[in-house]
Amino acid sequence: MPGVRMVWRIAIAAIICGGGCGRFETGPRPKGWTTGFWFWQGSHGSGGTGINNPVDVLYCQTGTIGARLGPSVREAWPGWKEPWPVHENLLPENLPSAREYWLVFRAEGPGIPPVRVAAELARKVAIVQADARRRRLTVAGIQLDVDSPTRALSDYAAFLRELRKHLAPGVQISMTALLDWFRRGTSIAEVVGAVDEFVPQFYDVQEWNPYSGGYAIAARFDASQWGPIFDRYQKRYRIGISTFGRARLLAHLETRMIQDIEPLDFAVNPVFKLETLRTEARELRLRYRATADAWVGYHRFGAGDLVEFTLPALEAIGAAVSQARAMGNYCAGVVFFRWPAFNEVLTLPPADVLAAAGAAPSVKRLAELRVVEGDCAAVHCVDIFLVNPHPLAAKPISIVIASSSELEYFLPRDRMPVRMSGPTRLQVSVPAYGGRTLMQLGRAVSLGRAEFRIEEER
Amino acid sequence: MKRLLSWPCGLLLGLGLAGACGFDATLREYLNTHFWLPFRKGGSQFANRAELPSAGPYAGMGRADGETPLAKLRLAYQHGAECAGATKIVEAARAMPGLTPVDREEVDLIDAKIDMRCGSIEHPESLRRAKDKLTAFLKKARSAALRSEARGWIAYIHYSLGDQTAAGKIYLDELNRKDTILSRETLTNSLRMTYRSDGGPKLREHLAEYFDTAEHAAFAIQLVTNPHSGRIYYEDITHPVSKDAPPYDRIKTLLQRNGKLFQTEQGAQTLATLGIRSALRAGDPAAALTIAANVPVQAAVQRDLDFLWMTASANFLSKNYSAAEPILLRLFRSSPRGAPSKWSAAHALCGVYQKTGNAVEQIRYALWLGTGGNEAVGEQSVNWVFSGFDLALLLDTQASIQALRDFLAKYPSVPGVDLVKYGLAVRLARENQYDEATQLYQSVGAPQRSARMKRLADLYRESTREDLSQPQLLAAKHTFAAYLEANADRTYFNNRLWSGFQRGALQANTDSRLTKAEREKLSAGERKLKDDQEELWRAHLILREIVREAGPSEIGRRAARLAIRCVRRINTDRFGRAEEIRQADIQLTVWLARSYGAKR
Repeated sequence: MPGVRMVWRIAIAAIICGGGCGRFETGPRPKGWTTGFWFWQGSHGSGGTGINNPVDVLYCQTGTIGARLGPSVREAWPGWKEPWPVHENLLPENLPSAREYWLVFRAEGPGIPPVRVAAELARKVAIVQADARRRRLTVAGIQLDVDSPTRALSDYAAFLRELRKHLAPGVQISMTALLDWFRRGTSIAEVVGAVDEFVPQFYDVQEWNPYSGGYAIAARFDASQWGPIFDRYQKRYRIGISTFGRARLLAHLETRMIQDIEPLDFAVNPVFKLETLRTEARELRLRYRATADAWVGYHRFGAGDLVEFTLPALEAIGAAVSQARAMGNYCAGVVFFRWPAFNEVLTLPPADVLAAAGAAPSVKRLAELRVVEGDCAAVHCVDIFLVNPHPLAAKPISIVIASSSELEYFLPRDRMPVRMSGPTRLQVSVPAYGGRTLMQLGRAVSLGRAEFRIEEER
Repeated sequence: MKRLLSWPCGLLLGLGLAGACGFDATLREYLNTHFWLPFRKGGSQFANRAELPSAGPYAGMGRADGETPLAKLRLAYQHGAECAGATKIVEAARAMPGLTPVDREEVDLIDAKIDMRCGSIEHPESLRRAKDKLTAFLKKARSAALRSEARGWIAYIHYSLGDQTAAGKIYLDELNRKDTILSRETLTNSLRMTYRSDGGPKLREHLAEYFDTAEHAAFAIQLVTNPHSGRIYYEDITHPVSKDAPPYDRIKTLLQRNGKLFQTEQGAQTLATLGIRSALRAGDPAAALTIAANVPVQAAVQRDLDFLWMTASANFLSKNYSAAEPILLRLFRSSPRGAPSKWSAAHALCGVYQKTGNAVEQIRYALWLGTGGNEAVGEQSVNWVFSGFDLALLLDTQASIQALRDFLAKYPSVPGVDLVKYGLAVRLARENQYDEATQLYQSVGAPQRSARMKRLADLYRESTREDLSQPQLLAAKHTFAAYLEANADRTYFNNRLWSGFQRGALQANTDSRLTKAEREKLSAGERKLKDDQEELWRAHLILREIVREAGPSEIGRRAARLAIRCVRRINTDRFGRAEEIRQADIQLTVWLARSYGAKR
């Protein structure tokens, strides 16, 4: 999924009649509309809080084909023959409930897996499928996530045809699709002919350039432009839409993606000044500029350095789903990349995504407290957690927590915007965009037992 | 190739060892609830019999030489007879004329064991067939040894099929049977494999099934109430929960409903112990105290180590610190040397004395722990207190100098007393009482420190003389400060207590287990300790005074230069006062520059 994508503008300009003009097998028209997610490595089932019903479809990454070798290795060993090992993982235990599961195998090696790998892949699929059967999970088929070079689509089609021969009857084949494949003169028709469905991805369509100023994740798209292109294959397809965010550092001497940070790290640090922007696809762009030298976690920032978060926005997702619904007769739904990891901030909660997509009712959720007994023998101590349903709210949130008895003192967790405002009061001031779904505020200590409640939320 | 592999292996081994031997920073464990939880129980605590002598080999494992069908059967069994091919060999052995009854029983048992060996959780049919054969075997077999072995294998099959309750009861019964051939080690290991630390969800689910005998019930309750540390788990992203509490209400109901199992005097005492244990584990010390109060004073259980520990715990957790003291003293005295209960009692007494303000007795037990009392921690406890931070903090800051003197007067010859003397010497030196410090250092065989104190005593006397002129006095003070600067970490720092790891112990500011008053007092004490033990800081203060008094003169500039060197050498990461020190550096540097200007 994430990886090398071809240039969006070139793709649009080059598409005239859709890709390829060869003959291809068609499929039945989809009967209904589905809303699904990719459940990727690192995704965690707990992200499904607030979802009462199983999701329609879950594309779960269960394996890899090939190894990700650096260019230096390939350069050092020009005769190196890619081994293309196939690794499979069973479906994780913390899997969210879904009506239908797909087993996703991501190709890590360069180019197309050789045809000889197909049998091994089918064998690994059978292993995962057997485990899923034991767990009474409905597996619809396999999805291949191969970033094939457009010139090699014919080889990809050959691989898919070979795979089909080895898969058990009834196992469908789905594939992710890059937009560039659909330009004129490609062999996309041959590839689509070999699968049961395809999922064009409308995100990460730009080539990653650390110095480009307008970096975005989601791509804005128009149904009237893309619908006829996809529909002409008369094969079921779903539209891939992004719901994740990223951070990058724009420093004096380097520009790079950074992980293990979140807006909260900067929002509570007075050294950083915030500027907000929108991308073309209406994603949110937060820019925190350092006004002095500062450390955040293991990252050092100099004065003038910039941290930029590109974040998904619910209104952008709603707009994208509307366009997908207007695509055509063979469009079966949307798939969101991706289900979040545990307490992840940069990826939208699935409950919010489903509501934005019109697949679940929008429920107004208020902040809640979770109070967990500490381990103190001679005083009463509790850890106070704030469940914040709107971690990326554009406005600051002010919450007053009341205690039933006087507190001896309160020890805030590192960087948590909370302080004692009175003997029985805690003041939480969540800055704009500076929340987290679950915020461990700190530890409250009292001589006797104390109960806590949210007294005020603004 | 070997050489190629050896360095990554070595690296991994090193990393593994480093990870396994993480630095221990435990402090005031008695302030944690989990410290006061009942002792952990495992299979070995439920064995009331001594180890029996070996009863010979198991069925099929005896001598297998010779040409008889029985010998062939034994041989085949010992070589892992194939499931399909074993039937013929078994039948041949069974048909052999002249078999003794014991031989026949052995053949039957081997037959069942071969089936058992061929089964697994994936192929349970064979296991079930083996269990049927073993059950039938027990109905007719006479050999006590083979019967015992058969019972053991039935338990193993239950275990393999996931029936924890049936397996556990057999192992538990076998542990106390006189006719068993299964060793204590085998049975306690089997119990450990079956139940792990607390029996898990299966034991909770089937708890009621253990109330067929008092022994089974006691075992189940004790296991299900085994202690856990206070870690936070997440049911899902928005539901953090603390440690998994036992099903307290269900345990209470089961104990009440099955009172008839505990109608003997010993039974009643067991019931009381179980009740207290369950209440404590569920965080209800008041209920534990109520049950304990109903146990007659003359009852044997009053001398039971578990009972003593749990009643003391309930008192401490109810903040009845004084009431906990005599119970813990009794526990400490009655626990055998090396017993975890002795260590727990000693550490708990440190907590009690901390709360009641009895520093002398607190030092007594902290010293006992610090001089070998830690040897027994482990199996029965969830605690880990090896850092020695408690004793170090006590001697270095928490206890007053008078308390140290009182301790030495009351316990002049307890093991480890030299550590207290050394600690007192350091504390006295920090108070500029160098003569007494010199004597104390001499008495504990610290000649270098003693010599340093002697020199400091002279320098300090000189720097505080009232009959000197001001230049002479300033020069004396400078000499004193210069000596401190030259002997950083060797004058006011207690090198016998800390082993270079002091920073982890100074955590009162972030210790949420203290009351506000305790936290403020301990934090202030820690700040004072940092100031008092930092020779460079103290030298800098003296030198600043000289600079102020001397002004832009030669002695003033010498003092300023040395003061700058002092502040620049202070590790503010450890010492704190970073901004203060930065400002001092700036001010002194500016002053020094200007002082030359003034001269010109």
